[in-house]
Amino acid sequence: MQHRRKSSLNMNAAAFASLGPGQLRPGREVDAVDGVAPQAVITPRSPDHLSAALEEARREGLGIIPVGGATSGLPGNIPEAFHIRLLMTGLATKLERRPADMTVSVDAGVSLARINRALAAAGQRLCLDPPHPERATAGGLVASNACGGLRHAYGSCRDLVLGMAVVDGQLRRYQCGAEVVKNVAGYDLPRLFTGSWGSLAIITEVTFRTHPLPEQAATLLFEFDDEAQLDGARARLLSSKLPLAAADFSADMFAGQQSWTMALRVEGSEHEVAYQAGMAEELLGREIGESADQWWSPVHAEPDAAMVLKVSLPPACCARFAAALASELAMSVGELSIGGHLGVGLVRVSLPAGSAGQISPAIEACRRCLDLVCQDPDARAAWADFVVEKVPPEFKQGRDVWGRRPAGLSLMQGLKQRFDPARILSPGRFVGGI
Amino acid sequence: MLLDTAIKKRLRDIVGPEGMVEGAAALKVYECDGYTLEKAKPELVLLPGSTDEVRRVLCELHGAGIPFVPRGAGTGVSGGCLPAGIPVMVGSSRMRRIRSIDLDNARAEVEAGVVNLEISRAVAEHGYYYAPDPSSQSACTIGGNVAENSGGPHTLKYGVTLNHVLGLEMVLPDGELLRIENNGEQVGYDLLGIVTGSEGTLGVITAAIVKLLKKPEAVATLLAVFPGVLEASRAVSDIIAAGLLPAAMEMMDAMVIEAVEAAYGFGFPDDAGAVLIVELDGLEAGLDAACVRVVQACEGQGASEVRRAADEEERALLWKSRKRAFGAMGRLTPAYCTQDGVVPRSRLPEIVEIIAEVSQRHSLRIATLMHAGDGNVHPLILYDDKDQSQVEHVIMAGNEILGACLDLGGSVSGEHGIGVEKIALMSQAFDQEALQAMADLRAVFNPSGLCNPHKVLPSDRSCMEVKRPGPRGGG
Repeated sequence: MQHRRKSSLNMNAAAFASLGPGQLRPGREVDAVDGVAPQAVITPRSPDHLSAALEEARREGLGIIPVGGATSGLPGNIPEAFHIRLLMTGLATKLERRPADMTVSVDAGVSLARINRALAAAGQRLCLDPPHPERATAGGLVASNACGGLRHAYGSCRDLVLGMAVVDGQLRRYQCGAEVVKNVAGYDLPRLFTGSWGSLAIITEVTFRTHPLPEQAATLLFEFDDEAQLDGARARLLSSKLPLAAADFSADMFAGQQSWTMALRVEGSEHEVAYQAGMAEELLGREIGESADQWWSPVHAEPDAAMVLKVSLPPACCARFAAALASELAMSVGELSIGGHLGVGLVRVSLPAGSAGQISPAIEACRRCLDLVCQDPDARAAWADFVVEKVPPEFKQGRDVWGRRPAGLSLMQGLKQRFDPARILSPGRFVGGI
Repeated sequence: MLLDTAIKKRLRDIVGPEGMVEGAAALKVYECDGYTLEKAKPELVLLPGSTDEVRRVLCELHGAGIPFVPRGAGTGVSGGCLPAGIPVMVGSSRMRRIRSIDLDNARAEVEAGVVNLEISRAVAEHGYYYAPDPSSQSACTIGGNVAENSGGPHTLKYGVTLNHVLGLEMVLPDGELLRIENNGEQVGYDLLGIVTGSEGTLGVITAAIVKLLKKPEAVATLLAVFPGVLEASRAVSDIIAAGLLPAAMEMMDAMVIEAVEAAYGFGFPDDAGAVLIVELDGLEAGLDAACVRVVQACEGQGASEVRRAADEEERALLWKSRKRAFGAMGRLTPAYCTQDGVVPRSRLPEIVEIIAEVSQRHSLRIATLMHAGDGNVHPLILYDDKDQSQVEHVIMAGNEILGACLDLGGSVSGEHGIGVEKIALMSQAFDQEALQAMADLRAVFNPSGLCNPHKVLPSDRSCMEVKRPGPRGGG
């Protein structure tokens, strides 16, 4: 889809007149996305500022990429147009917690750590634990449907978002969803925008449901000799009555050696935590370590990784997939880390910095192993697929980083057309070039 | 609109004679769901036996430009499957297969017409269950649950239908088959999330892949008796403030208790102003301590008695009393209208006072049931369906209560949906731009508007005859 676009942005445009000092600056190399540097970085401090930027973009055919803390690494296809990097961290005033209602409403730019500090004072928390909580913003978390290990028990962002305020690509400003924990009035627009990666609307405010903060929590670590042992442990664990908060695994490969580790998070009263640790040992054997305060999740890649793949597959296929991939790459790749959420069926594969030469073989191997493990008729998982979350831009040419063409792509294109007809929001970056 | 014989024949060829319902007598059951203030008969009900038959039916209807409405078991309570101005109804009652159960991945694929409770039954021997449990769970279907994003008493801890669906198979209004399968990590827009709760206006759901949960190690069900609803509502807040997250917190007021006691004889005290059912589940290890805290919170708000269900039998009877409370209301009144508002939990005492005031002003008896932990209130407005002026007051009183829910920061529907019943309230609940955005969303899935028209969003809906209501409800 080709749209009439200006090649350059006018920093003196009337629409930008309302922006104060520090809210508009020329784009630099560090602001680039997939090697494309924007012409300007705008930091709105109110929804009005945001609307002004969007209006200018629509008039001039500019491409905008909204960014929170950028902790996701901004995955996506190479932008079709990128004039404005819209930094949402300036919209960070409102933080309204309602402990008695178990909800919290925040401006999009408020960080997860700030939300959780405020909630902790009232004995509650937002059950999201993606990496870099000090930088990750509410809006960014929701736009990327982020999660960490706690997803096992509490769901991902989409399960915790109750309502939001947005400005969509048609420049409409509205509230959707509600500020209560149960609501089925009208179509669920918050669901549409959650995980839409800034391609339909810009989120300005979010309401989440909160949970009680557990009295205690512990991370239990277990080690296994191979994938069969790990998978057996998974099956025993997940069919038991142990109510885990998180169940993650890692299968790291270094210099031809593999190590298989499982990390469980248990929560509750002191008595409950001890009881669960006992149950886990009974099921899995002796744990190798325990840490009461530090949640260790193997799933998040190092920020400087050369390549990160996010693989989605049935839980029972995780270990076999990891083993197949590790053995296929054993000869060609020196170091590889594979980790995932066992109960959910989400695995991240990453190559360390400096291994750019191994990216293509690793991606191809990932495809082969996934097919091998999941195309098995017994697995009933022909849908399993992966997203190339992070690679240098040259590896994105001619590839859809989001994976195979998803079911319902024409509906998704229709939604894009309705909500962002001028293609100003993250144009070309999402699946199928949306 | 009258269907011509040629199209009828083509439709019959697709679904077979056993899949076609015609004639006034046979169609009577399809003229409304649990929302009985409006009724209309379809000309024809089709009951396809497979996804492929649904696909062919919808292709045919799309080609001929004929509006249709999907229907599950008809246990909805907002008129979501009311066939007013819609000649054809597509029901799921012949699609009742559990296609697969995959315990290793804790999921099951079931056809749309499978009854909610059948899933839990099918996996019970392995210690698993399907969590969402609307009161109508022994009758309502998964297709309908997904369409309405149904809740139930245990949503407080476990969430609504949306949180338990991993995949969907549906036929879009133009006959195209769409199969969304994933583990909640769908690439692209969350079509599954959008379709769940869309009240049958975006297409016909033919199957769902649902999450199965392991039954908790231990469950404790407590019954607390209060002098009134206000005290019980305050206890709910105190339980939350104590950092507890019960599986369910359900409240019944004196009028509901009276009806339920007459019907099931559980043994609620005669003088109870309100009762609160609090269910805690999880580890054996922490349960007793949590129960003590619930008892303290209830006693702190003046509960005269807090008792724990002694065994599974007593627990089952208590839940039966609660879940069949709607059915029991028939003992008190010729007819009643169920409302479904939500307020922030902390505002429960306020909405309780408002309901009392509305009841007095309209001279209507209003009984109240609540998923109190969620702030979801179900005022049941009792009336005589032979008295037309009372019917008007019922509608006014319902709207006033829901308007108050909005004023208190809540919603006009927690689990029953908008259907036809609450369309007028949508412009009060959302501003014009949000409604336009919703209309945009619908137009992408249902551009022809043939799939379940005149529902959810306010439009130029034609006037429909308002018929006498009957005593039904749900929630």
